[in-house]
Amino acid sequence: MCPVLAFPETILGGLCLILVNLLVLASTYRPEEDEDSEVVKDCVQGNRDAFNILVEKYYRRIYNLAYRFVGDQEEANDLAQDIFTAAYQNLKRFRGESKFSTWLFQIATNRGKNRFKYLKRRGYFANKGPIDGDEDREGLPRELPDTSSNPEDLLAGKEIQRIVQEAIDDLEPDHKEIVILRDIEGFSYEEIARMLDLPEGTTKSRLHRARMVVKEKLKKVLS
Amino acid sequence: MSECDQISGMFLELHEGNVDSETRSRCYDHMNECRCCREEFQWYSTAVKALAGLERVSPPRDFMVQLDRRLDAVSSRSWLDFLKYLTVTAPRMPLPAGVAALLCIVLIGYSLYRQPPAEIAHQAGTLISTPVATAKEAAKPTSPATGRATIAAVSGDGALATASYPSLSNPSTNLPRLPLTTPESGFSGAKSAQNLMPTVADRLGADNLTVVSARPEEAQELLKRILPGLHGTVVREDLQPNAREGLVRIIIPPDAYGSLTRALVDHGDIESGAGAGVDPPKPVQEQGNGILLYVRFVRPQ
Repeated sequence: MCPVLAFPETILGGLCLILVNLLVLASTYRPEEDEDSEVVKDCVQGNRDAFNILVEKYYRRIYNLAYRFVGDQEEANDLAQDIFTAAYQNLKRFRGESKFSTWLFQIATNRGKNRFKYLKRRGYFANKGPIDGDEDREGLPRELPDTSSNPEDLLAGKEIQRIVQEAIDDLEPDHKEIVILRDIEGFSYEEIARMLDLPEGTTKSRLHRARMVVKEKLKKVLS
Repeated sequence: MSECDQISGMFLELHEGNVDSETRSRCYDHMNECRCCREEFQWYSTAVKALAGLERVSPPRDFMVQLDRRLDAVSSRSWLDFLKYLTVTAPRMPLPAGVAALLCIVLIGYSLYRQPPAEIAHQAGTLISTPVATAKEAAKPTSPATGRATIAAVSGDGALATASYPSLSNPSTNLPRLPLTTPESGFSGAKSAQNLMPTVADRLGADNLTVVSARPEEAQELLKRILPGLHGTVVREDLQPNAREGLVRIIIPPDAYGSLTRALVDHGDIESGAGAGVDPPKPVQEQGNGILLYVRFVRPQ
């Protein structure tokens, strides 16, 4: 074949190959599936019952997250309701680019962090006594763990729960949110990075620093 | 940076198993030799487990009820909230678009308001099929609900009126309006109104008076006779002998309007007068306190 004609044929062949690759990629691409998408659509159209379905599904997790931010049941209740109210009001802004749960927890984290900062400014955590549920044990001596045993064995028990919560309360807001999302709520780094609009590397480094702080607190108390 | 610091910096990756085998071996080798690092890593793992092992806190039983109440309160927005929503929150209608839409509505409304109804109907291609009433027919009471006596009015030398007395327009008058007529068509029997253009006299309202009389000359003489008693004057008269119609322009005080129409009723030229209950047309400023009336005398066919 004439070499002059061979060159355009090569280019044409390359273009065809690229086109085929693109088609294969397009056919294999699946957008992130959201199990709540249908219910969310109903909600956006003003169906309150549909929103109640979402609340029913997530309110325990949201309440728990709120509690970890503020460390008090009454405050957590108010915060969780505030989160759902904000979600309800802003539902029309939800464009489905992420899962509904990611979007909801993003709202929850922002609100939780803001509430935590607000309470901290007002000295709420400095004045706070034992956490809820421990009031009835105020008169009893503190059940300090036996430091001679393995630290892992010490994790069982209410006292440890309180100590860990206090350690969380002492964290910086930026560290606290990541600890809550990753270690307590179990979100992936990718999801956390999307929620907080941070690079994954930053997310990991903040998490590491936060864990080190908690580790130091635990070590100090348990050793 | 010491090796211990390096190992400490890798606790997260080590704990989650996200390191390659070579690095892991190096770290574990170091921790086997360094008790401090080993303990630190153990505490690190403990802290992570403690965080993950925190008990889940249950919300109060009436959480949903409380939330329902709160959402109800949010749903019933106040007027102020609605405005705030329009200007701040509404994602699909930003403020400039809203303001532009509002301005458009106001402008269209204003232009329609300024346009006479006849023109609107004409522009819309509406066919007014009602035959044009003669002045005699229109002189009948048209408002049975109020029982008010009415007078056939309108139709006149509109162009002249506009040029001379632009302020003659009197929308507040209570007198009725004839169907749209032109001087040519108004007295030549029924004619489809679709061909008729509204005159300025139509816009002026009831400041004109049409007298349908078999003896228009006599009626005109009567008008001239009673005018001095009403403190009115003739401004101009265009009435030719044996013509089918003529026009007389007079100026009378506003309170003389009722008396004038009553006199014409008595003479049998119109069926009923304006009466005392009818608000007289407003005075024309250019003519002092007097009102300018176009009185058209028409001989019935």
